[in-house]
Amino acid sequence: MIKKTHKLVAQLDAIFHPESIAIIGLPRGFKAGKLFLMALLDLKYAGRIYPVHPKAKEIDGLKAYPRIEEIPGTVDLAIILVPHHQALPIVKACAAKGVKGAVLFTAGYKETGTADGRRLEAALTQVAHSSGMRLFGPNCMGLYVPESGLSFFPGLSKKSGPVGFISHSGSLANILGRIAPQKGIYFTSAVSLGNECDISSADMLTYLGNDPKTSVIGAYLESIRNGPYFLEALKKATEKKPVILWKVGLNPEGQKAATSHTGALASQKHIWEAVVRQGGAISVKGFDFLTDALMGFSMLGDGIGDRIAILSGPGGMAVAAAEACGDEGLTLATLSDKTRLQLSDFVPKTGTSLSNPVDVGLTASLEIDIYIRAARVLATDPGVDAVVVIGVGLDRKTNELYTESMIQAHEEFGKPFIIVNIPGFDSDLAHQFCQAGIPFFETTERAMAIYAMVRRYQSFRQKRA
Amino acid sequence: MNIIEKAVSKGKTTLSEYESKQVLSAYQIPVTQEFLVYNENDLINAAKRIGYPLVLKGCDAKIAHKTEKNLVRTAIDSEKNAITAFNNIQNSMTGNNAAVIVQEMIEGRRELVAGMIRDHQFGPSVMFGIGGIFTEIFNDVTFRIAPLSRQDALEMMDEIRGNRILDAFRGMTAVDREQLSDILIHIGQIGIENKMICEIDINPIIISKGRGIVVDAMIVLESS
Repeated sequence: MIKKTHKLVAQLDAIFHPESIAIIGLPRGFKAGKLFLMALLDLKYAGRIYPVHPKAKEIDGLKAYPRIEEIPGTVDLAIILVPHHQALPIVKACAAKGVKGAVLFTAGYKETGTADGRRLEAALTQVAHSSGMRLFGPNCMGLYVPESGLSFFPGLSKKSGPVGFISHSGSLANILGRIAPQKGIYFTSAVSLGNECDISSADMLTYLGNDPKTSVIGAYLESIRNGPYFLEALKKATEKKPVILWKVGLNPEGQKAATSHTGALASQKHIWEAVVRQGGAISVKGFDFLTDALMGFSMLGDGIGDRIAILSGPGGMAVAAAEACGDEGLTLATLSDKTRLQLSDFVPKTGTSLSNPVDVGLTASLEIDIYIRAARVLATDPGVDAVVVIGVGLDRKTNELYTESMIQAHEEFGKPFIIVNIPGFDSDLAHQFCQAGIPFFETTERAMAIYAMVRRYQSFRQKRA
Repeated sequence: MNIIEKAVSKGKTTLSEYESKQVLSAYQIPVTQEFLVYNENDLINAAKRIGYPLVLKGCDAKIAHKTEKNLVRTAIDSEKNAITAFNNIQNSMTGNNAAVIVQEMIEGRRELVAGMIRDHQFGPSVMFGIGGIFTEIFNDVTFRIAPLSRQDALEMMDEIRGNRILDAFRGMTAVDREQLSDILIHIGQIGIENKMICEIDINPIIISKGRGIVVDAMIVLESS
């Protein structure tokens, strides 16, 4: 098992860091397939790129080859864009050439539900197993590895980060990749797996679990190919790092008729919950929740405490935040006398509250300094583990000052700061918070849910250790 | 196992309550003391060995809902009543030689459910939850993929909404969670070791003096 893991990790490492790439079936004109070349050029891929085209001598200034066999030197990665009925001989030729991994973009296999599609896919699997060349897909976008300059779509970030992402949907991986920088989420790699004729989500969990640069794993999953292997890989990965799973297809419908009560009660949701719990994973539902979780786990490090201080201008949001804090099993920090005394120096006397949740009132929107000083006082209190700030200034200028000062306070005190949006706050400033490693949430409920999630994973790991 | 192979070879798709409990018993899962009887003589002997009060049930793998079919008599306290109940049950069943289970009556107000299904992706999965006739209404159950660790089994008991039913309550003693977790772990083992079993229903497990004992069970076989 350990030997098998080592081999898989080494194989994928080589494919994720290729020295040369062949794009087979790269179109001459501006067609969908061209995006794969544009993506590599966009990320300034530094290795050799070999277009393979039956007729073209050159595509976009790159020398083209009629067949992969005719490429001089080695090819580490092949991106195969030819129609499905032409794929098999090309995959075989790649294997013969010693290609380490191939991405099969084209659809038209098992997902069609036809016998032909299934047969063709089985033949691909057979080539992978007998040759040792690993296959991604078919019906997938392939790999985004910013540190290698690998990408499946133009416009993705060149910056690397701690998140490894696994997706059964290419477009979802792409959309996540595009909005991720706004939330301060950056990737070691993101992989679109398609039909998984060879490399599966469990393989990727194993790889990312062992990758020292990945510290958070996320996945969007549609179906699990080999349940026991998946659970085993999940258990191993969550021993080392958080794994956030968004699984679709858990509807109560489609339940087969069962003879027993147990069968009638066993929904797919129940079984998936069992997998999540036994595997030590974190389950999320929906794109927003997924991105918030990836953001939270990327930014909130190990060893965060459960005593929360809430700082808010709007009184209603202060109360709601306190309730969300309790709902998620977190504690409202008890503020020290010194803290309250310091707050009373500058927080207006009426329409405010100096006990947690600290309500600085409406004046704070006009005198943004009240927010800033209050946040600093709260961060100084040794009984406070994290500061949640729900604030907004009256205009752009005060919001800029608010943002800068909170970022500075966060850096100075080294405690988690969590910022919650008040509608009207500038979205580019929200991005600035995320860039500075401070999670910015749309709602206080979401903020507390994610914070509690990170806490739960911490205690899970302590228990397992 | 012999019982399973025999049933499969006869083309049966379910094991009777009696057979099902023999399978459970072979995996150290505590079940009610019981005998299968076909006539009054055997009935009286069985009753003497178990002692009153007794439960009598018609036993046929084809009959899934014994209570609804009026094939269950409980709290039988004398030989006379036992004979009446036996004849009533046999008359309600097809064939004169129908089998009747003579069973010790377990006293206990807390009823739990356990089971196993073979998930097509993850394999044998063990269920635990609130049992009794309202199991499907409460739908307060949780699952784990087999094999179960001790921790898995103990976590299942915390996970159900009605988990306080396992604590000391109104003069009832706290449930022995270790013993219950043994049951769940062993159910998983049955699933792993017997590929021909596709579903197991154990309902109820009655808590008696803090320990769980299987009062009714059904095993569904793979129809090959």
